Amino acid sequence: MRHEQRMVITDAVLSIVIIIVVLQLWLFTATMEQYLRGDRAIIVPAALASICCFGLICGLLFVYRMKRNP
Amino acid sequence: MKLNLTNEKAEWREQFPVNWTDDEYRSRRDFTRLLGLTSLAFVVGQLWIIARNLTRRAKEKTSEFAIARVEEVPIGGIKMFQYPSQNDPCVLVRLAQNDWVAFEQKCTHLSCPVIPQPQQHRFFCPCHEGVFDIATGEPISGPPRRPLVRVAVTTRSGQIYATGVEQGEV
Repeated sequence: MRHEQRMVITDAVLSIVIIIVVLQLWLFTATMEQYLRGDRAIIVPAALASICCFGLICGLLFVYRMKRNP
Repeated sequence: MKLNLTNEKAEWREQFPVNWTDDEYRSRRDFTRLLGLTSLAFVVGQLWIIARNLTRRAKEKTSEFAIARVEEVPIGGIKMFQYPSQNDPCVLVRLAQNDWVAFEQKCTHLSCPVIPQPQQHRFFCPCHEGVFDIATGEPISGPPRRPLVRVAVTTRSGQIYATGVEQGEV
Protein backbone atom coordinates (compact mmCIF):
# COMPACT_ATOMS: atom_id res chain seq x y z
CA MET A 1 0.00 0.00 0.00
CA ARG A 2 1.32 3.42 -0.88
CA HIS A 3 2.13 5.85 1.88
CA GLU A 4 -0.50 8.39 0.78
CA GLN A 5 -3.17 5.69 0.81
CA ARG A 6 -2.12 4.63 4.30
CA MET A 7 -2.40 8.21 5.49
CA VAL A 8 -5.89 8.58 3.99
CA ILE A 9 -7.07 5.40 5.70
CA THR A 10 -5.49 6.45 9.00
CA ASP A 11 -7.19 9.84 8.80
CA ALA A 12 -10.54 8.21 7.98
CA VAL A 13 -10.28 5.76 10.89
CA LEU A 14 -9.15 8.56 13.21
CA SER A 15 -12.11 10.75 12.19
CA ILE A 16 -14.63 7.97 12.80
CA VAL A 17 -13.04 7.10 16.16
CA ILE A 18 -13.14 10.77 17.25
CA ILE A 19 -16.86 10.96 16.37
CA ILE A 20 -17.60 7.78 18.35
CA VAL A 21 -15.59 8.92 21.38
CA VAL A 22 -17.36 12.30 21.40
CA LEU A 23 -20.66 10.39 21.24
CA GLN A 24 -19.54 8.31 24.23
CA LEU A 25 -18.59 11.47 26.13
CA TRP A 26 -22.05 12.91 25.53
CA LEU A 27 -23.63 9.58 26.50
CA PHE A 28 -21.64 9.47 29.74
CA THR A 29 -22.48 13.03 30.80
CA ALA A 30 -26.16 12.62 29.88
CA THR A 31 -26.34 9.34 31.81
CA MET A 32 -24.67 10.84 34.87
CA GLU A 33 -27.03 13.81 34.76
CA GLN A 34 -30.10 11.59 34.48
CA TYR A 35 -28.84 9.22 37.19
CA LEU A 36 -28.29 12.10 39.62
CA ARG A 37 -31.74 13.41 38.77
CA GLY A 38 -33.13 10.00 39.69
CA ASP A 39 -33.91 8.51 36.28
CA ARG A 40 -32.50 5.03 36.66
CA ALA A 41 -34.16 3.50 33.61
CA ILE A 42 -31.58 5.09 31.33
CA ILE A 43 -28.36 3.73 32.83
CA VAL A 44 -28.39 0.15 31.50
CA PRO A 45 -29.31 1.05 27.87
CA ALA A 46 -26.71 3.83 27.97
CA ALA A 47 -24.06 1.40 29.21
CA LEU A 48 -24.97 -1.05 26.43
CA ALA A 49 -24.73 1.75 23.85
CA SER A 50 -21.33 2.73 25.22
CA ILE A 51 -20.14 -0.89 25.04
CA CYS A 52 -21.35 -1.05 21.42
CA CYS A 53 -19.37 2.12 20.64
CA PHE A 54 -16.27 0.60 22.19
CA GLY A 55 -16.82 -2.61 20.22
CA LEU A 56 -17.12 -0.55 17.05
CA ILE A 57 -13.82 1.20 17.77
CA CYS A 58 -12.12 -2.13 18.54
CA GLY A 59 -13.50 -3.54 15.30
CA LEU A 60 -12.26 -0.55 13.31
CA LEU A 61 -8.79 -0.75 14.86
CA PHE A 62 -8.68 -4.51 14.26
CA VAL A 63 -9.72 -4.27 10.60
CA TYR A 64 -7.31 -1.38 10.10
CA ARG A 65 -4.49 -3.43 11.60
CA MET A 66 -5.34 -6.41 9.38
CA LYS A 67 -5.25 -4.16 6.32
CA ARG A 68 -1.93 -2.74 7.43
CA ASN A 69 -0.35 -6.14 8.06
CA PRO A 70 -2.07 -8.56 5.68
CA MET B 1 19.59 24.21 -6.46
CA LYS B 2 16.64 21.87 -6.24
CA LEU B 3 16.55 19.21 -3.49
CA ASN B 4 15.47 15.71 -4.36
CA LEU B 5 13.20 14.96 -1.40
CA THR B 6 12.39 11.39 -2.42
CA ASN B 7 15.99 10.29 -2.61
CA GLU B 8 16.74 8.58 0.71
CA LYS B 9 20.44 8.41 -0.10
CA ALA B 10 20.83 12.14 -0.69
CA GLU B 11 23.42 14.00 1.29
CA TRP B 12 20.87 16.14 3.17
CA ARG B 13 19.27 12.96 4.53
CA GLU B 14 22.37 12.17 6.59
CA GLN B 15 22.10 15.54 8.29
CA PHE B 16 18.31 15.35 8.76
CA PRO B 17 17.36 11.67 9.23
CA VAL B 18 13.79 12.29 10.48
CA ASN B 19 11.15 11.09 8.04
CA TRP B 20 8.28 13.53 8.56
CA THR B 21 5.64 11.53 6.73
CA ASP B 22 6.43 8.32 8.63
CA ASP B 23 6.52 10.27 11.85
CA GLU B 24 3.14 11.83 11.14
CA TYR B 25 1.67 8.47 10.23
CA ARG B 26 2.88 6.86 13.47
CA SER B 27 1.68 9.71 15.68
CA ARG B 28 -1.83 9.57 14.16
CA ARG B 29 -1.94 5.80 14.56
CA ASP B 30 -0.89 6.09 18.21
CA PHE B 31 -3.45 8.83 18.81
CA THR B 32 -6.16 6.57 17.40
CA ARG B 33 -5.10 3.86 19.85
CA LEU B 34 -5.19 6.37 22.69
CA LEU B 35 -8.75 7.25 21.70
CA GLY B 36 -9.54 3.53 21.89
CA LEU B 37 -8.39 3.58 25.52
CA THR B 38 -10.49 6.71 26.13
CA SER B 39 -13.49 4.83 24.79
CA LEU B 40 -12.74 1.98 27.21
CA ALA B 41 -12.59 4.52 30.05
CA PHE B 42 -16.10 5.73 29.16
CA VAL B 43 -17.36 2.13 29.23
CA VAL B 44 -15.81 1.71 32.69
CA GLY B 45 -17.53 4.95 33.73
CA GLN B 46 -20.91 3.66 32.58
CA LEU B 47 -20.38 0.38 34.46
CA TRP B 48 -19.39 2.40 37.54
CA ILE B 49 -22.74 4.21 37.38
CA ILE B 50 -24.52 0.83 37.29
CA ALA B 51 -22.47 -0.36 40.30
CA ARG B 52 -23.32 2.85 42.18
CA ASN B 53 -26.99 2.31 41.40
CA LEU B 54 -26.88 -1.22 42.83
CA THR B 55 -25.25 -0.05 46.07
CA ARG B 56 -27.76 2.79 46.28
CA ARG B 57 -30.62 0.32 46.02
CA ALA B 58 -29.11 -1.69 48.85
CA LYS B 59 -28.93 1.50 50.92
CA GLU B 60 -32.62 2.18 50.33
CA LYS B 61 -33.61 -1.16 51.79
CA THR B 62 -33.21 0.08 55.32
CA SER B 63 -35.13 -0.69 58.44
CA GLU B 64 -37.60 1.57 60.20
CA PHE B 65 -36.31 4.21 62.55
CA ALA B 66 -38.35 5.96 65.24
CA ILE B 67 -37.69 9.69 64.83
CA ALA B 68 -39.89 11.27 67.50
CA ARG B 69 -43.29 11.29 69.15
CA VAL B 70 -45.92 13.29 67.24
CA GLU B 71 -46.39 15.76 70.13
CA GLU B 72 -42.66 16.51 70.22
CA VAL B 73 -42.80 18.42 66.92
CA PRO B 74 -45.23 21.35 66.70
CA ILE B 75 -46.76 22.47 63.38
CA GLY B 76 -44.03 24.37 61.54
CA GLY B 77 -41.43 22.75 63.77
CA ILE B 78 -38.44 20.64 62.85
CA LYS B 79 -36.54 17.69 64.28
CA MET B 80 -33.03 16.60 63.32
CA PHE B 81 -32.20 12.91 63.11
CA GLN B 82 -29.68 10.54 61.47
CA TYR B 83 -30.93 8.05 58.92
CA PRO B 84 -30.14 5.45 57.60
CA SER B 85 -26.69 5.67 59.24
CA GLN B 86 -25.21 7.95 61.88
CA ASN B 87 -23.39 9.79 59.08
CA ASP B 88 -26.58 10.81 57.28
CA PRO B 89 -28.12 13.86 58.96
CA CYS B 90 -31.77 14.43 58.07
CA VAL B 91 -34.47 16.95 58.90
CA LEU B 92 -38.09 16.19 59.75
CA VAL B 93 -40.54 19.05 59.18
CA ARG B 94 -44.15 19.18 60.29
CA LEU B 95 -45.99 21.20 57.66
CA ALA B 96 -49.53 20.71 58.97
CA GLN B 97 -51.42 18.62 61.50
CA ASN B 98 -50.90 15.40 59.58
CA ASP B 99 -48.38 16.51 56.98
CA TRP B 100 -44.79 15.39 57.60
CA VAL B 101 -41.82 15.58 55.29
CA ALA B 102 -38.20 14.59 55.82
CA PHE B 103 -35.11 15.19 53.70
CA GLU B 104 -31.42 14.52 53.90
CA GLN B 105 -29.73 17.66 55.13
CA LYS B 106 -27.22 17.58 52.31
CA CYS B 107 -27.41 20.19 49.55
CA THR B 108 -27.45 18.58 46.11
CA HIS B 109 -25.02 21.19 44.83
CA LEU B 110 -21.85 20.65 46.90
CA SER B 111 -23.18 18.75 49.95
CA CYS B 112 -23.27 21.63 52.41
CA PRO B 113 -25.86 21.18 55.19
CA VAL B 114 -29.11 22.95 54.35
CA ILE B 115 -30.92 24.99 56.99
CA PRO B 116 -34.67 24.45 57.35
CA GLN B 117 -36.64 27.74 57.42
CA PRO B 118 -40.27 26.66 57.82
CA GLN B 119 -41.50 30.27 58.22
CA GLN B 120 -40.22 31.03 54.73
CA HIS B 121 -41.32 27.59 53.49
CA ARG B 122 -37.84 26.71 52.32
CA PHE B 123 -34.52 25.00 52.97
CA PHE B 124 -31.62 27.39 52.62
CA CYS B 125 -28.05 26.43 51.75
CA PRO B 126 -25.72 29.15 53.09
CA CYS B 127 -22.71 28.04 51.02
CA HIS B 128 -23.98 29.28 47.66
CA GLU B 129 -27.42 30.58 48.59
CA GLY B 130 -29.32 27.61 47.21
CA VAL B 131 -33.02 27.44 48.07
CA PHE B 132 -35.26 24.35 48.11
CA ASP B 133 -39.00 24.06 48.56
CA ILE B 134 -39.70 22.72 52.05
CA ALA B 135 -42.64 20.55 50.95
CA THR B 136 -41.16 18.92 47.87
CA GLY B 137 -37.39 19.44 48.20
CA GLU B 138 -37.31 20.81 44.65
CA PRO B 139 -34.67 23.50 43.96
CA ILE B 140 -36.18 26.99 43.68
CA SER B 141 -33.15 29.20 43.20
CA GLY B 142 -29.37 29.22 43.36
CA PRO B 143 -26.94 26.72 41.87
CA PRO B 144 -28.64 23.41 42.91
CA ARG B 145 -30.38 21.67 40.02
CA ARG B 146 -31.50 18.47 41.73
CA PRO B 147 -34.04 18.05 44.55
CA LEU B 148 -33.08 17.11 48.10
CA VAL B 149 -33.04 13.39 48.87
CA ARG B 150 -36.35 12.56 50.45
CA VAL B 151 -36.81 10.27 53.45
CA ALA B 152 -40.12 8.41 53.58
CA VAL B 153 -41.94 8.95 56.87
CA THR B 154 -45.01 7.39 58.39
CA THR B 155 -46.86 7.88 61.65
CA ARG B 156 -48.12 4.98 63.73
CA SER B 157 -49.44 4.96 67.29
CA GLY B 158 -48.36 8.53 67.88
CA GLN B 159 -44.81 7.84 66.71
CA ILE B 160 -43.12 9.10 63.56
CA TYR B 161 -40.97 6.59 61.69
CA ALA B 162 -38.48 6.92 58.83
CA THR B 163 -39.13 3.98 56.52
CA GLY B 164 -36.68 4.45 53.67
CA VAL B 165 -34.69 6.79 51.51
CA GLU B 166 -36.46 7.79 48.35
CA GLN B 167 -33.35 8.73 46.41
CA GLY B 168 -34.14 9.44 42.84
CA GLU B 169 -37.87 8.91 43.15
CA VAL B 170 -38.54 12.32 41.69
